[in-house]
Amino acid sequence: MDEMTTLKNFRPDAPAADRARLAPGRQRLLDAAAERRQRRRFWPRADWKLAAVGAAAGVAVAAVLVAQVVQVAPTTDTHQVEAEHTTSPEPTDGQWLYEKILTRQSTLNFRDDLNPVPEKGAPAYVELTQETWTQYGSGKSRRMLPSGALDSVIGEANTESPKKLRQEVEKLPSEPQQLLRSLREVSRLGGDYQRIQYVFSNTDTIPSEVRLSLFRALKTIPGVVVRPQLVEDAMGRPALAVHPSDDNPFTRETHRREELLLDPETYEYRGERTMMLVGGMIDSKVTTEETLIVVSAVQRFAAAVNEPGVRP
Amino acid sequence: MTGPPDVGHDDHEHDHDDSSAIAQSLRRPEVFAVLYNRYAADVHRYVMRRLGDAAADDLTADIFLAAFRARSRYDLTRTNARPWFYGIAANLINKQRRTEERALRALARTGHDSVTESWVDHADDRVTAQAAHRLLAGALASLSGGDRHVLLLVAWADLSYQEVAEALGIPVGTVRSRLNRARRKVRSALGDDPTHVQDFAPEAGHG
Repeated sequence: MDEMTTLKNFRPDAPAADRARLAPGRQRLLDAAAERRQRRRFWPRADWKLAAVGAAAGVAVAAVLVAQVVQVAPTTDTHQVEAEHTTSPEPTDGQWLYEKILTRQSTLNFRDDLNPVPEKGAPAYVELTQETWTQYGSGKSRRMLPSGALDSVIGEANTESPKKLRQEVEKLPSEPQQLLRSLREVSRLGGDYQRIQYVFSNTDTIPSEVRLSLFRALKTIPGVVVRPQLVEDAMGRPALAVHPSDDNPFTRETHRREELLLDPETYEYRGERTMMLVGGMIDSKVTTEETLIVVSAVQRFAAAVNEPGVRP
Repeated sequence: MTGPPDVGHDDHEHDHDDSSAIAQSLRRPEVFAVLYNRYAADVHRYVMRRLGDAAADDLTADIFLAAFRARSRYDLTRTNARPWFYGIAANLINKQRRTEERALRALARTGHDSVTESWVDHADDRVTAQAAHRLLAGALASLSGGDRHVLLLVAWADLSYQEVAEALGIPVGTVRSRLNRARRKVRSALGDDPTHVQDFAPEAGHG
């Protein structure tokens, strides 16, 4: 018998832990996850950081609906860009882009496994507002802390500036496959779908023809679903819901679907929402009796300002 | 990485693409529990085999919590996260190195293995270890921590050399040299010819 065989025969009867024994450790992990989720409320998503200057002056606050999926009356699915949108004047490099994001997060309890349960006695959702300022030329970012103080630079280093992103997006070709190829040079994050989602959520005021090209390209990506019926966005307006097909490992495992919401006429970014889908099973348990909106958020952009911390 | 599933991505879809779950967990922390479901039982058994029943529950939970907190630093090009968890396990087991070595030396000396006895229901069921295991325990206790990790990750966790290298953050060449050294010591302790070390299967196709 060689030494590796002897070693393999040493303590070979160490028993495998059953589910009950592993459960407390799993709960500790989920507790930490829940705590992290709480903390993240005050941290803007990095990919929402690069806000372009908004067409609308003043602060537009978005409301978010947390409810069952609402199927708005069927509309035509022409997806034509009708409204005229012009690109707003370009800020100077030193100016700061003010961004305000309002998010409503269902007070579902994720601590019991991955299966959400509404919190007893809690309001239907918690609301959080995030305000950030991003310098147009440099991409430096500051955020407002809950205390009212201005935080130091946030986000990952070396993210491209809003100026650079806008310049790159404006140059995108209109032919869908060429656009997707060019976009891979702009961002290497994720796949084609994630890249288009990134552009929609980060460049608020791109020319309408570029927005149309982006939407056309989005529809050519294999597996992308544009729902035939409009849904309601966070502010109660009809919106197009776009999402990757539910037949993917992430959705199969977690029964969550992340939707990108767009204006049905102009394809302007209307936010995102996360759905917990009905009918899923995790650990042999039904995840939810009805499809729930877990997180829903809308960002709106406002004009550039000269100093971080200043609201338009 | 933004957005959920990797639609339109060039890579093939993979049911056990751990890096995808880790990337998702950056935005949805609770998704990390998927990895616990996949690997906790294996890691738990490995910890139990090294340190005994009493340490296994807490240490396994600690390993996954440490991984969860470090997930933003995970190399997303590695689709299989199993070695990563064993690497974190090695770090945390290191902190109990003296306990582990004390138990091994006691086994070598007395023939009673407190680790095996930790999962035996009754003290009456105690068995005296085989002579070979007493010699083996003495040899394991004398190994450096790094050599012991390599040897046991290959023998008990069934990691390939490449996976051990990933787990411990060392070059594959170092894995080979540590494994050779550890095997020679064990072989010598067992009374076999220490110069005669046969190739071990995991290197094939991986090394």
